[in-house]
Amino acid sequence: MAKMILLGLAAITLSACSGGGSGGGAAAETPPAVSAPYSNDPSTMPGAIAQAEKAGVIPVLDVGTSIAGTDADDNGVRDDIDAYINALSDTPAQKAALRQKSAALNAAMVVDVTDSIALAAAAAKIRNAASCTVSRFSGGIANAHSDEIKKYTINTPQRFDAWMKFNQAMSGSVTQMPKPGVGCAQ
Amino acid sequence: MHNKRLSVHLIICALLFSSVQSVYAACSPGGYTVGFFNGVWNDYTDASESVGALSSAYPTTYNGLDTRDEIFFSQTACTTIKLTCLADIAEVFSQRANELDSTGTLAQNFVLFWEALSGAQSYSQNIQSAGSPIGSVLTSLFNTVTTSLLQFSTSLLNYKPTAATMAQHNAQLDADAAAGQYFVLVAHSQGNLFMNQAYDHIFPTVGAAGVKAVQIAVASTSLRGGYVTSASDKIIQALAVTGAVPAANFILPSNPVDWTGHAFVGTYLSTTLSGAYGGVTKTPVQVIIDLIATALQKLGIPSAPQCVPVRPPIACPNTFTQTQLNHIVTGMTVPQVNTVFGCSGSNMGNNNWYMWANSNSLIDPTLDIAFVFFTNGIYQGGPDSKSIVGPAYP
Repeated sequence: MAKMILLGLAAITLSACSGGGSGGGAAAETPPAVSAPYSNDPSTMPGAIAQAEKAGVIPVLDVGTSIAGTDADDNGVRDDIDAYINALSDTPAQKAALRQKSAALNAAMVVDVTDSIALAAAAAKIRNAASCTVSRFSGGIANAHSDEIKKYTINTPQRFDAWMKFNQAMSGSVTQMPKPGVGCAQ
Repeated sequence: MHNKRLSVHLIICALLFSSVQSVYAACSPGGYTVGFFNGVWNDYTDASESVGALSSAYPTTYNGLDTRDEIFFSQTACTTIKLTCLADIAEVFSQRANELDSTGTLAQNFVLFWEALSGAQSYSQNIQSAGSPIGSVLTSLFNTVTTSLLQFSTSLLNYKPTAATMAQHNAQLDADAAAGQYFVLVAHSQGNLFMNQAYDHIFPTVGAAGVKAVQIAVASTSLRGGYVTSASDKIIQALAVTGAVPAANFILPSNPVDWTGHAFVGTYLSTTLSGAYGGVTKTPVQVIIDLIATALQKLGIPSAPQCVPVRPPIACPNTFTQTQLNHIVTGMTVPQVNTVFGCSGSNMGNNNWYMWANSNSLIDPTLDIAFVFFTNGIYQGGPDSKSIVGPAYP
C-alpha cells in the first residue's frame, strides 16, 4: 500500500514538474497524469488497454521484457503476432508474407551484431520479407500492412533497442535487394 | 546415415564444380544499378520496402541489360546521446510517457511510439473507441513526439555522413563500376547528403554518362540531378527555416495517412494523392517514375563486358572452423553468386552446404573470399555485406 501511495505521489510530482510540456510547444495543454495504482479503470493506461483488448479492437500483445517473446510453435513468429495475423482477412499468401516479415524482424532483434555473417543473414531475411510483402499487397496497402507488423513486433523499449542495435550495425552497408516476389519463403 | 549424407554432399559438390567450371570463363555483362540512399527516420526494413516499392517504377532490363537495386543504408544520430535518430525520438517518447503515466504502461508500449512517428494511429484510436477517456494523454504524447521530430528536422543538415559510412558506400560504387555498372542514385531526405558525396566520388570514374541522380524530399543544400520536394512536406519545411534547401516544387495536399508528408513510400510513392509538378498534375509515384526514366535515358550504355578474374577451384571438401559452420540460416532467396570456387558439406549435417565464392562482383574486391550458405542446394544467405571477410585464399 505504501508503495502505491509513493507511486501516486511520484505521478503527481512528475505531472507538476512537466507542466507546460517539456517536449515542445504543441503539448502546451498538459493533461492530468494517469495515476497509479494499477487497476482496470479505463481512465488509467493499463485499464484502457485491457478494456480495448477485451473488446477485441486491439490485439493482445506480448509486452514482456524478453526480446524473443513466446514462440510455442517455433515458426519464428511470436505467438501473439501469429494470432493477430491469423485473425486478419487477408489471403493465405498475404498472411505468409506478414509472418515472414515478423520472423525477419525477430531474427534481426536477436542476432549477434558482432557476427558479420549472422548479421548479413538477418539482413537478407529483412530484404526477402520486404520483397515478398510488396509483391503480395498492392501499392500503399503493402506499406500499411507492413507497418502494422513492425509496430506490433517491435512493441517494447527492449525490442526497440535491439532493433536499433541491428540498424546501427547495418549502417554503411550496401546490399542488393531481390526483385518483388523473389524473396517469398512460401 | 552419416555416410549416406556425406555421399549426397560429395555428389552435389561435384555437380556444383562441373557447372562452376563454365562460369569461370564468363564475363559480367554490366548493367544498371539503381542505388537508394535512405532518409534519417528510416530503419532497415523501411529502406528495404522503399527499394522494393521503388523497383516497380523502372524496368527490370534497360538497353538489354539488367537493372538491379542496391540499398546504401545509413543511420545517424540526431544527438550525441543515441546511436540513431530514431533512438533519439524514442528517448523523447519514453520520457514524456513516464511523465504522463506513472504505471509505466505507456512507456512500455512502443506500438504508440511507431504510431506517433507515422501518424497512422489505428491502435491508439481503437483504444479510445473502446470507451477510455485517455485521449488527452495520447494526444499530449503524440504532440511531444511531433514537436521533437520537427525540432530535430531543423538540424538535418548537421548530421553529416560519417567517414566510415562514406568509405563503405564508395567502395561498393567502385566495385560496381569495375563490374560494368552504370548508376541511377536515388536519395530520400537526409539520404541526399550521403548520395551527393557518393555521386561526387564515382563521377570521375564513370563520367556523366555513367551516373545520374534523382533527389526526393531534398535535405541537402545542393543538387546533383532532378528532384522533387512536396510543398506539404513538414520535415523539409522545418529544415527550410534554417537551411538553404531547394524550394518545394510539387504542390501536394496533406496526406491523411502521413502527417509529416515526408514518408518515402507513404507520400512520395503514393498512387492516390496528386498535385502540380512542373505545371502538370501527377501522382507522386508518377513524378518519381518520370525522374528515374529521364535519368536512365541520359545514361550511356556500359562499355565492353567486364571479365571477372579467374581463380582455380579449391579442392572440395574443405575444412572450416566450427564458428563458420554454425552460421546456417533459414529463409530463402535466389543465388547471387557468379563464381564459386570452393564448397564444403561433409561435416555440416542436415544437408547444409557452405560454399566459397569469388567476391569480386558481390562484395569488396579487396576481400578474398565470401561465404554462401545452401540447404538442400537452396541458397540461404550471404554474401551481401562488405564486412564479411573469409579466410585467406590459399
